[in-house]
Amino acid sequence: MKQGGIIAIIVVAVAVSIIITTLADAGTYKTFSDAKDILNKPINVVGHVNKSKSINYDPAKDPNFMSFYLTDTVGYEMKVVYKDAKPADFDMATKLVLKGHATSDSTFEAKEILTKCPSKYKEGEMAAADK
Amino acid sequence: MQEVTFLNEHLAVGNFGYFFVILSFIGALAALVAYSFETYHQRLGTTDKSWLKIGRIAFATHAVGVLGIVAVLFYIIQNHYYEFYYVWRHSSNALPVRYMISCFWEGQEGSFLLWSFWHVVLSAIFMLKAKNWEAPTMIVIMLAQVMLASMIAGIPITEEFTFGLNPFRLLRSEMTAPIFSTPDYLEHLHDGNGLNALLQNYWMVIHPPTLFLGFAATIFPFALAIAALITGDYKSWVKPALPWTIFTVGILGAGILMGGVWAYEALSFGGFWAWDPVENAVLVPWMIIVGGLHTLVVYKNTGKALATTIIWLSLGFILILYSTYLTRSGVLGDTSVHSFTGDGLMIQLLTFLFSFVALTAIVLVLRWKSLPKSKDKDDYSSRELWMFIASVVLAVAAFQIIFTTSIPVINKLIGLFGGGDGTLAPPDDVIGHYHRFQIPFVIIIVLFTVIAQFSKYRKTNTNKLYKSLLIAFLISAGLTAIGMVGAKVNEAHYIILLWASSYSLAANAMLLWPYLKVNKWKFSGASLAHIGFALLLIGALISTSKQEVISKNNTGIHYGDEYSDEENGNNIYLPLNEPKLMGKYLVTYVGDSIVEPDHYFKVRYDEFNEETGENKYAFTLTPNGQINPQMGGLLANPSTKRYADRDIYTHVTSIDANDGEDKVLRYNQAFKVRKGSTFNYKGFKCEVIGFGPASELPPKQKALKQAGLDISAAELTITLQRGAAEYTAKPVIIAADTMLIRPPFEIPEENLVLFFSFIDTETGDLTVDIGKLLKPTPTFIIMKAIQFPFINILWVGCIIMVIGSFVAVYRRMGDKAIT
Repeated sequence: MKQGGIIAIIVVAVAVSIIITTLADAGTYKTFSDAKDILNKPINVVGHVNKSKSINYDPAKDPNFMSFYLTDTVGYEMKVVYKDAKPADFDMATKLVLKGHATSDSTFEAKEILTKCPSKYKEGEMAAADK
Repeated sequence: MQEVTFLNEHLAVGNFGYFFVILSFIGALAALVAYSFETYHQRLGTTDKSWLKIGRIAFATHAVGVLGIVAVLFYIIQNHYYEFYYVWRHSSNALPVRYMISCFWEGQEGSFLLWSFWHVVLSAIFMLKAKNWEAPTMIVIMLAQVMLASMIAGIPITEEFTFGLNPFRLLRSEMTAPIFSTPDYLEHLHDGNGLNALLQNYWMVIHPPTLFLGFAATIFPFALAIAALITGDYKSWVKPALPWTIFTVGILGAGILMGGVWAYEALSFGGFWAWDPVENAVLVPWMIIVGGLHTLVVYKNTGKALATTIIWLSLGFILILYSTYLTRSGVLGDTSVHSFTGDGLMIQLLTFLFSFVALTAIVLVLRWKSLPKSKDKDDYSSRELWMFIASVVLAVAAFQIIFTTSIPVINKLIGLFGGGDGTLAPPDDVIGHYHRFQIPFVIIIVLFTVIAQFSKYRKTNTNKLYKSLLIAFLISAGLTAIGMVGAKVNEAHYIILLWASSYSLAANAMLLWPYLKVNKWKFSGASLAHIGFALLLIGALISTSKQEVISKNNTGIHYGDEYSDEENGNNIYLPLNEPKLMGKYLVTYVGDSIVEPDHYFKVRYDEFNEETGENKYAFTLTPNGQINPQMGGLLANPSTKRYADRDIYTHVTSIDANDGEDKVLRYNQAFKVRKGSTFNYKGFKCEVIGFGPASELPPKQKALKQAGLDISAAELTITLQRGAAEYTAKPVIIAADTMLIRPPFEIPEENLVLFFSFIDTETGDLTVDIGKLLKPTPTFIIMKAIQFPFINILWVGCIIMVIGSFVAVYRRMGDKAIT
């Protein structure tokens, strides 16, 4: 195929632009201390729920609203607002990955919450088996 | 430490299984060596077939090994031998028999075994007609089998590192717990950990075997391509390669689509495709092999594009290995809804991947010069040019998907150089990201298939070509208009995609017509597959772009700025027996029913007429939301009402957990029995085996009797049996003074409670009550409902595409060899 050369050049050009645009489109993991400096920019934050503060979810009032406090990996805390139903495994989660943006110095609005639960088959399991 | 002799373990069965593991591993190694020598002798031109015979014997040994492992693993699962870790972790007594086979492949070991098993089955079929291609092809396949066998070899190398995971390893060697210090620990180990509840869906019985059959099939086009390079015979490999490649495309495609159906029916992520890394990892090799199939057809007909074909088919298999690495090494971590643990196979998975990359690279480099390459310029009206370009675009599209999917890997690599992990995350809007790239790509690909399908190899009569293109264009314009009006498709990129897909639909339908008329159906495979693909695209684009969340919170009440606005309100709060308006329906949560471990919520839908204010019963849906602490809370299985033109898809997002509330008696049933009678309750076979005076009284009544009161008591002995679980219940009835006392007899494992309620002294009938002690009906549920319009077009497309593939396999099996 004599056109092979042209095709190859186009393919390489498209592939390079895919790589560049994808890397530009890729999200970033940040901490809350970065988040308050870049208000309204979408980021990913990893952290755990501060269980000593209130976890607010009252479905009878509004099934699409919950708020809680999250401590990120460097220990910075923010109030998180999530406008959806409370994730089913929220109470079990030891770690959360939030996708969203800071709306003020102290509030973070999560668009998506990924819950990470402790591995299913660790300690405590044998107690269940040994009935 | 004192050596403990454990009682009642079935160690012999495990050892027998492990013997097969070793047998399969050694058999695969021996076959690899023998087939290599045979290939070498074939190249020298000797007629001595002794190495071939040894190779076959070794393969047969390997096959016996693999089948043996499969049989033993099934045996220990069926018999609930919980001393084996695999059985304990993946099954339980309560599991219905139809899901027993799902336990088999839930774990890493079982799924490698399934893959290996399909390699054996397909190899046996392949060898029947392989002739000279047997030896060089089987080298590649046996190398893969050695790698797969090593994944389950379970040979300890050091304290920390074990070479592969032995499926027959014992629970007590896998876990440390106090109970393993007692010799009779099995007495206390009654039940297993159970099968992942999400996998307890009938699609999960058929989807993994089909997908793994597809995985296993990918090695045949690849192995034949490598064999062609090894032998330098670039002609005759095409005959076997073509049907095997189409088979791979068909079966792997079917496997992927079944995964989509399963996701739609059993997972609550709200759709059939979520661009999840696990889905992408299988889609990408499929796309590359589809490209390879089309260049292979080009090569068969014109002698061009051989190098591309070999590279595509090799890449397809290598990407299967890469996807195995991605999904099983734990590298995806935070980015997938499917959670995978590493299980320490990282090094072996990478070895598997890189040994095949190296093999392919070496053979290709050594043979590159000998590959025939065409130097002519292709005519722009030739079919091969457009097929070739379409397959290149397909590969570029596949590259985009795998690049984004690999972001966690790239992040790890960046981290390796910078220390720690990088900060690169998947795109914030994953679906939008993929659509932005994939919609233009698929439009281009589909349009090229139209041109290619209408043209002839080498050169086409352009007048005829333009005429066909024009007719198909007119039909597609009509179809697009129907779609825009009927399904309200209104965004520009979706309209273009709708038009391109309609164009392909029209063009392929025009090509299909003559085959149907003159009874040449076996040539209709390509047209059918393309029609199916076009319908799949149309169904996907309408149902995805026009999906509508109908569970909007339309109470009209706002609780202040902090609370959600209507746009965000995707979930509806349904208190028990309180109708709520949801779109054109009045929905009411009317109750629940528990079939352990499932918890179904009955939601009644009435069609609400705004003008008259009347409502008419429409249907009832029963989404399942089981509370499953092992899986981290609520497991929601959707429930869907299907209409010809739309689906109403609902799932519960949250329920009132009844925390702290006492269990109540539910599903209470009374049975009139006598000694020897049998009855059924909730799947239990119950038999009354004894009736007589009570052997022992409860402490209170015992004390009263000792104090001289007139107390008499009768006892029933009932056996209850369901599957492997068996219980004996001894409910009593006590007559004290004028009172009758009926203490409950509980079987806590099954939440069962039995009462001996009444003795009819006239007829001799005995009444026994059985019920379940369960949490009361939750006072509310929170539900999400989505309407997917025209999703049936998608399913019809899938079916036609798969049928088309198999028609093509049938045709290509009858092809003559090229000369």
